[in-house]
Amino acid sequence: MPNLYAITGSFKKQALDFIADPQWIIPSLVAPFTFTLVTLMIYPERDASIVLYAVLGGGILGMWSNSLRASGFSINYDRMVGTLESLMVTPTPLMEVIAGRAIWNALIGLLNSLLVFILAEVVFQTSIRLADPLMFFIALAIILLSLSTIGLFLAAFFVFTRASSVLTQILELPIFIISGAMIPINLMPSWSWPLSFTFGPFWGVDALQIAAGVSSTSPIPVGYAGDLLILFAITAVYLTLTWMLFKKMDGKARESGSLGRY
Amino acid sequence: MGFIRQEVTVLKSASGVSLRSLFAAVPWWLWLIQLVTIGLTQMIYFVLMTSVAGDTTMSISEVALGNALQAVTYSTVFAVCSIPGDEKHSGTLPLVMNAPTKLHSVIIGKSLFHIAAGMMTVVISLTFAALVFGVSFAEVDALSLSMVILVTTFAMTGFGLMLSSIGIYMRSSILLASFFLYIGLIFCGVNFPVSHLPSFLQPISAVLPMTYGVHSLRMAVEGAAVLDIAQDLVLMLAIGSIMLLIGFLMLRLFERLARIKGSYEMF
Repeated sequence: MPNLYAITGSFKKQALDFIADPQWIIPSLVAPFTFTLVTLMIYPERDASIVLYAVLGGGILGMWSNSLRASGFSINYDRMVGTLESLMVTPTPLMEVIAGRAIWNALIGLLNSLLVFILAEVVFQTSIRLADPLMFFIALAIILLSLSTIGLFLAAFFVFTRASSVLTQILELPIFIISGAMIPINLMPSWSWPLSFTFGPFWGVDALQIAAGVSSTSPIPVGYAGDLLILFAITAVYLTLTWMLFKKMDGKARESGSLGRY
Repeated sequence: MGFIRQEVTVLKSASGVSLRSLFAAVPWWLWLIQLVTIGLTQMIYFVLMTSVAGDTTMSISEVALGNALQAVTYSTVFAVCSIPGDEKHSGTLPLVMNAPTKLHSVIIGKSLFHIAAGMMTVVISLTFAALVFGVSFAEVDALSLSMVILVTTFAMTGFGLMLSSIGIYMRSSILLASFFLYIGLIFCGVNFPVSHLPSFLQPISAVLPMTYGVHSLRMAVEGAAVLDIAQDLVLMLAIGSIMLLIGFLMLRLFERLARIKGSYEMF
């Protein structure tokens, strides 16, 4: 059973860090915000359904970008400021500390959705409605967990490389396409579909669209419950891989004594 | 003559240091993947989005060409603007600022590689647009096309250098660099006409060189000669030069302010 106190504490600490210095959200939100805004501008007619589609998609892109950048950078930041060694020798597993941060990072990525929503309401003056708010928020919470798990994985993975900032840049935009959040994947060549299917939030996007009342664009329509089940299964796989990666990182760092090197 | 020789030496060594430090942490092939991925995925995204949206004012070819040129922004604006921030981050900015060499020469020297990389990205993106999205270059005027790439890169580098001077004084130039990385997508008619913007935002398009770059690139691909796009080229040269001059003055101002406030180590 994970130590929920540690996860909550780390979540709070990350939230306080953000409130103390919120400007660091800018690099994470620039791409999703710009892409969502330009997407809206491309459409010749912007009715409520198009805006809702953009707000939903933009939210996922924002959560992804912030998970990738903030969570990916998480351990590297500790390494830079010299707190990684202290974190490693506390009784709480490092994975639980990073988990709290990753959940916050994915959550605050939703800010993009809020920005797009406000812009849409003020500038385009559309009024958007969710078909089933309860189903919508359940799906959103599960996507949040799934993206947090990806953030955790990236945090551990980036410890092994000095090129984490380059990898972040490489990974950010392709997911905008393969996630299906904005562009239906059936526009992509079919050989690329398996990439989308193994990216958990792809199924979450479909569930969100169903709950919001937007027509589903998935080439494999499995319904709301089916989407969530697949999302759960993929997240469980991510979690297992992440746990293994943290174990490997822990062992390797102790053997090589290179934890503080960057 | 001695001054020119000294400046050339500084540019050469700053450029060499920039290259060595870049490839010390990142293998060249990974850096290349990064550079190409950003430009190409951006193009794929907006071309697909234009297909999804249906009856848009811009054709797939226009969108692909616009994004191919916009790809230069990563190297000329983001990378150039990040230079002072990178120095700050690695603790070398005070050393560079206190060396007898002029700071602007060091920054320009460090930008040279990024400028060349920017032009290369545009060429790769144009090739991709032709191969994947079927953009036709049958009518292209090669001289006009080369001039557009060259002048746009110069003007956007002027923009990047102007922004980078602020990074000397601000806590981090990364924030600024990130903010302006995708500015062309919104203001420069890359994916939708400038006229679709609210009227109070359109003056911003008029001062951004990319607006003229995108317009003249599309004309060059349709066969326009250099004289036909001369107005765009002259405007870009003028804007780029003004931005360089403003950047130079701002650099001196912010360098002085940073010394007074002792903020050149703060990030």
